[in-house]
Amino acid sequence: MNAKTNLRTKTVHAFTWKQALQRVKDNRAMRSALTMIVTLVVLAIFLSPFLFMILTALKSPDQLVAQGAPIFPAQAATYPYQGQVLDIYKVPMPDGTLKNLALLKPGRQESTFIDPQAPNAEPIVWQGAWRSNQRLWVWSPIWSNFSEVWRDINFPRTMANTLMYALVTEIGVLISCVLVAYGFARFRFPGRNFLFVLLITTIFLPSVVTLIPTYTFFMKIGWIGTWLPLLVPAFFANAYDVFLLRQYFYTLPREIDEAAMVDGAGPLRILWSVILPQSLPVLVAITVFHIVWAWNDYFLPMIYLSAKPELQPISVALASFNGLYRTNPTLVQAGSLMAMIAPLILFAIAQRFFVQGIVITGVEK
Amino acid sequence: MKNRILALAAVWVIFSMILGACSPAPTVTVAPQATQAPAAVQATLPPPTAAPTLQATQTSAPATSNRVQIRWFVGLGTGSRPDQQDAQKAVVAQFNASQDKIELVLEVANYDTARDVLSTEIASGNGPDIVGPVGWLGSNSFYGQWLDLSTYMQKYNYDTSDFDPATVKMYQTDEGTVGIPFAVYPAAVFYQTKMFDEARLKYPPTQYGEHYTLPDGTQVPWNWDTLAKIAKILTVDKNGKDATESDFDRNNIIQYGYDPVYQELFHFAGFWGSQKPYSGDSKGNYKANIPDNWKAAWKWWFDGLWGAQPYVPTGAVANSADFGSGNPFNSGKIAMSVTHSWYLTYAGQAGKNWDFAVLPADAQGVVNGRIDADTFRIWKGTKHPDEAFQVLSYLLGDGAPKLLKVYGAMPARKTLLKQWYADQAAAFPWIKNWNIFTLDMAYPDIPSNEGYLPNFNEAWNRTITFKTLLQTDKTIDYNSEFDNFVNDVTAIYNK
Amino acid sequence: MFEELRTIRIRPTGEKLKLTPQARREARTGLLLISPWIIGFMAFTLIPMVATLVFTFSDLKITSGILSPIKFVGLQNYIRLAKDPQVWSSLGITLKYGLIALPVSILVPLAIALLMNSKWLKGSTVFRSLFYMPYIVPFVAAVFVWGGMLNPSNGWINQALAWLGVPKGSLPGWVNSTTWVYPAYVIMGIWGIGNTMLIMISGLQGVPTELYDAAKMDGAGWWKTLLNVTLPMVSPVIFYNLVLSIVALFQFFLVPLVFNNGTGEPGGSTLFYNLLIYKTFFTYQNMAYGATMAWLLFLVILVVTLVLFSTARYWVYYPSDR
Repeated sequence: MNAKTNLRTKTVHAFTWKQALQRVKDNRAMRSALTMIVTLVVLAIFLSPFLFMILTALKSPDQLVAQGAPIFPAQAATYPYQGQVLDIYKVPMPDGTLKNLALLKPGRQESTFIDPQAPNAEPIVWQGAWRSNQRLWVWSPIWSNFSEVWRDINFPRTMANTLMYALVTEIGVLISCVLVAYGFARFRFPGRNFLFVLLITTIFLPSVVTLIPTYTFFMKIGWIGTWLPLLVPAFFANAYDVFLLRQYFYTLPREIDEAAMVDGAGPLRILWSVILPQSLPVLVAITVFHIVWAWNDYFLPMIYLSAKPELQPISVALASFNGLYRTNPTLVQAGSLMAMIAPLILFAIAQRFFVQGIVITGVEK
Repeated sequence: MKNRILALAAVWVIFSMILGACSPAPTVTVAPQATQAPAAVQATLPPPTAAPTLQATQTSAPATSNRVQIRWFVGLGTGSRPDQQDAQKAVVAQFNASQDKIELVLEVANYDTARDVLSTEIASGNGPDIVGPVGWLGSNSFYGQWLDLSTYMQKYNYDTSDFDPATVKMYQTDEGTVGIPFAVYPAAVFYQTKMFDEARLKYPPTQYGEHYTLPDGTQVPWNWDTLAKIAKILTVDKNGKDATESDFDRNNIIQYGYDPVYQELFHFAGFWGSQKPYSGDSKGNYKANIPDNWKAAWKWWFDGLWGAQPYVPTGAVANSADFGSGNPFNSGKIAMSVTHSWYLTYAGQAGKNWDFAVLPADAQGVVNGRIDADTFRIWKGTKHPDEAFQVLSYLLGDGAPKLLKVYGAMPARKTLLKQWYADQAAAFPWIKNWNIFTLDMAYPDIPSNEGYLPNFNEAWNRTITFKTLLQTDKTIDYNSEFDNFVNDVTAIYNK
Repeated sequence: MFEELRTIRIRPTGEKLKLTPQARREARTGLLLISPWIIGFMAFTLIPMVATLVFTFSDLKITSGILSPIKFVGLQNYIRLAKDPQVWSSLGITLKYGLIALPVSILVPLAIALLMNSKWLKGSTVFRSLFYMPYIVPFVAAVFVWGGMLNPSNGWINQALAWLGVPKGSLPGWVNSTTWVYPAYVIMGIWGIGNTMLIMISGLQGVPTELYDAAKMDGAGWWKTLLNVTLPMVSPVIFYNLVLSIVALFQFFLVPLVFNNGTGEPGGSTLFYNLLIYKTFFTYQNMAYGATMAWLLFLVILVVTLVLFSTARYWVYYPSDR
């Protein structure tokens, strides 16, 4: 018996969970709403550290350490008095009201306050622990964090460097990896299996280990201090993307290939007209995450460009705020937010090319 | 079809070759940069001997083929902060403008990765010529890589009269004379006057030999015990109760009495006694030699962290943003710290109410001090030692005042001291006790607590592990972990 | 790969390869197509790899410089490796961590990808960008953010737990506690699923809709469709992610380096294998021993991957390979 017909009968039942669930399943609007709610909840938890990031980027370093500071970017109200800067507290007065007073002389059992409204009056001696009082906070986002980072790391130049690094390597990766993966996926040649195994094993060895011989090699050919050690290898395919593309090409049925071959198309033609159009989702995926990777790649650019600050990308320049002896988290977060905007926009745009479902036509079976 | 693929492959190779060719040839890369010499100098250069056609077309680039290139690597110590770059670049430009034989090139690496970068460069034979500013810790992690300067000092009649003889002697080690004094960093107790006022405590002494008066009027010697006593009073929870009170809430501490900011175990122990942490003279018969006063020092620290009346922030607290992200005194919530004059540049947010006091003595009444020292080292593998030595002399001489300022470094040169004190007093007008630094120059750590250890890097690493354990785990048994430490270190020495 | 390994045969030299002209052409084209990788491999990868292998038979230190004459010490490094308790315990630590981290690194992105791909979700493009966003955060910033979130005394996570009623004394110590440090790393790792999620999404979108239609007509519910249609069709992509996750697991070291100062604390539980390699290389400056450890790692990953590939034919479905 069909669950739908069950619900359509007008008998009154006590609602069971199963029926409620079935109700939801049938009602499109409710299903959408529920999915939306679940997604939003998961998203909120997932992105909560992000909120932390944004809030930190707008605070001053003083606020990070201040006692009882609110979560939102704020500045503690202060009062200048006789050459000193006094903090303002919300002090409960004997008559039960809260007054905003400036702390002049703190003490364990009693403290002295000045009333900013009446600075020339007698200082007020207050009994109690001054630390248990709240300070007065004023909403105060420090937008200048962003401009300070912009200036200190020469944002336009480092951004241009990063962009160049990401784009050039992206072109290299796309071209080389597509060709190589196509070769592995659609062609048989002696040693194919051995070579593919070899390709995969190149990622097993931690790069830390091959760093020094590789660096020496580049030094001998004079490439240290230039972009070349970072750019040129991208044009010779890397195991990750070839592996992914090969897997993806395997999911594409051969029938269309064969049809095109019968029509007289050569291998490159097939690649261009048959394989690639079907591979748009994975190509976009590779583009996006390669660019993101290049955007934040820090270690190798640091090593090869350590002598050339004018060539360094953002990732390297940003780390200069975070040396051991001077951690300035607010600036690091502000700079990171600024650095993230471009890849984010790229991603948002690239989204449109994720084709919703691929319907395979023209396959006669 | 095959032709198309071949054509594609050919385009491939050509493209990559073009990319390769686009890289400027090595001589040209040193051209237009911040270190470029201004036009006046070019007029005095002798006609270039190499690649004349290349030179003729370059109007903006100096004839670099004649100058010896000296690379100056910064980052193993201080020097990689954004606010220090301008001064360093200015010194480099000034040097290059002042002569025409040497081209000084600046290379700045981030402190976190400087060691990796330097390791990579040295391992591949591409080490820099000059490394600095660097202290003992940084230079010992590359022990054996530094040039013995004695021949060059003799050759160029280097005058060391402007330095305190003790500091000159400090750099004469088994490797030879590996450095000339540049900056010294005596230690002091940094303390927050306002916190003492609030707790109605007397300030710590400013003369050696002075006694300290406790709140109840008793006079006690100024030593680590006394410091602990008042640190407890200065550790306050959010209700205003201090650590000596019965209703103290240790889960809600908002102010701590003491923090050994930026001190590793051997550093901190140095204020309790100085000696060589190993005995023996060759691999196989080294033994760890950790004296009892060091064991007591770390126990003092451990008790301050986890004892019934804590006064030292735990690792988690010290690393939190609330307490300065690893730099607690800078959060303005620590009452006292024993550290060095280099800390002046790291205390930007500690407020305007702190000052210096003399170092506490140990239980026997002996004051054990420490003096950090930075200088520039020349890499042993440099291809141009003479030119490197000339650059070194410049950095230690004419270039020193500008650099010392941004490094927060006290000059080793006696003639520069007066100006330094004046500069510092202007930058920190609320501080009264500058003379403490002068007093503390009399208490160096000999042998240095950052001094050579067999298998230095691994041994030092083991101390960091032990310190992290002390700071983060309250359940450990101090004595057995201490014994583990000693055994491990002995094993490491002999690896 | 196992399958492929099995098909590699060693031919006696006398025998000629019998290929049709068409097959020969196909082979030539194939080889030409993969030539960029072969050239790159020989120029940038092979020599360094061979060099590090040679180092394992020497006693090279960082400070000796690799261009100086090498002193060979035979198998000394290997013997030391076999007897070194730290090496084997750190391998164990990596495996232990993998037990928790690996399933999470596959299942969580898959779940979110399924959610993103659901036709019941409106505005999934926006959500996709939002879920991907954390992946873009530079490591240097993420370190601070997670240090702040997971701080045992005042991090947001512990504050939330306290608000939910957990007593203050038993709040997790996160990176400072031996029980909670792995969950802490896993939580941090979840922020980085953007990539894997993206790949899963592109795989999911490659599933022909007519298969879903067919399943629906057969009366399959949501769960059955998932098991019998979706998962098999994306199995190549899941396989890819699994292999890469395993490699990443064995090469995991940046997070413990930064969060626990590379000390391996608390209680030695964060001394991951690749961290030990990094330290041997750069902190202890022992290149030869570090290289030996790295080649052991290579061997381990190779074995694990081979096992994975050999099981692949049982659960990975390639519609078009021959």
